[in-house]
Amino acid sequence: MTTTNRLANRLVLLLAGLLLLALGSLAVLANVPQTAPTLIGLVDRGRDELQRVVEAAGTTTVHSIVLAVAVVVALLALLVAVNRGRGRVATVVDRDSGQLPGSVELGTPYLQAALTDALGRRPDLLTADLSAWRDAGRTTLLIRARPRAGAPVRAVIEEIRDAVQGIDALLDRPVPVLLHVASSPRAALARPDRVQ
Amino acid sequence: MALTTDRQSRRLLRRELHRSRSIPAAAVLVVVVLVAAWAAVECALVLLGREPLLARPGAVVDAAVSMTRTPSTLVAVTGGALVLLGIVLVGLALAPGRRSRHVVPDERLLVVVDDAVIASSLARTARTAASLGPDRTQAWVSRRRAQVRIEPTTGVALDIPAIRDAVADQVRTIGLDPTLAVRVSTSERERVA
Repeated sequence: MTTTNRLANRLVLLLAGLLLLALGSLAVLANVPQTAPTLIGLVDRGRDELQRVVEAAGTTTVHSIVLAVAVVVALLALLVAVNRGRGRVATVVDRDSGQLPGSVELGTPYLQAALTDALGRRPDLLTADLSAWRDAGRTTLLIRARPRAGAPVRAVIEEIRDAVQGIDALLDRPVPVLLHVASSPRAALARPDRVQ
Repeated sequence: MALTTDRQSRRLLRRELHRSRSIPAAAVLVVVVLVAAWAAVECALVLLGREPLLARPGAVVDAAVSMTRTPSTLVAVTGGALVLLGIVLVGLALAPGRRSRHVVPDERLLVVVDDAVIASSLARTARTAASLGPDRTQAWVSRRRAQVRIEPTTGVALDIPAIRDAVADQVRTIGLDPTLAVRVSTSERERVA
């Protein structure tokens, strides 16, 4: 439900993986008698090239450039890292309040209470947690329901759909709802409902 | 209905069915930040004419170059480990990363159900159909298959086709898309009632 850029995640993993593959293969190939001479020749050529560049530009310039690149890379990585997992919001904007300025916002605790209330004490359900997420200008409610072990899946979905239709009645317009029927260690440990 | 067919909803369901790879990506990013920050600090120390923190950047390059000249098991093993880690990361980046979940079409909600929940429900259906006690059935659900294994009671015949029908019926009731092929088998171990 987060707005995490998953393509960025994939790119980070791909680039890091390829870099490690390259470094690792160099280290391995340097220890294989058949490939070591060619590799040493290549590495030496690379080092000589590097030395020429460093001498031509001066050590100060080279260190400044490396410093700048390292700072940019560190900042970029930090930016991507802290921008993951966003998108959770505390309110759902419901309606414009007619003649009055502004709009009505409903807090998710209010909707959670409505959901819990509507579900009552269902024997099939251990918990049903509600949260709101905003992505690309649309708010979606996420309901994570954890049923008791062996609970009939269709019945659980229908119970929650009924409860959501109750919430719909509170709102001006229906909000998209994603229901995740999740397993949990607690469901595995909890005593199964024996009445059949 | 509109809710399950519009683009944003389809995207949402697709994201719920696949891993975000956030944890490995975050781990890689932390390492990148640390290495880049260290490189920056060492460069700054050289520019200021101070003593290096761990090693000068030039010394690091020299050490790497000389490492290729002296064959060593340690370098080879480290290299092998890096190659393995690299393969894992590339695999993570390119694999589809499906989660064991299924979409259930519904007229009001977008629904994803963990396979473990479906399996547990099917195990219970089979157990009820076979009139057995708890812990006598096990079920597994994969993308297109459901497997149920029953531990029979010694000397009591099981009506396997009837149990399979009951489980298949339960799969139909859930309304999975795509549906699951059901297989019911008995375990070799039996239990005395």
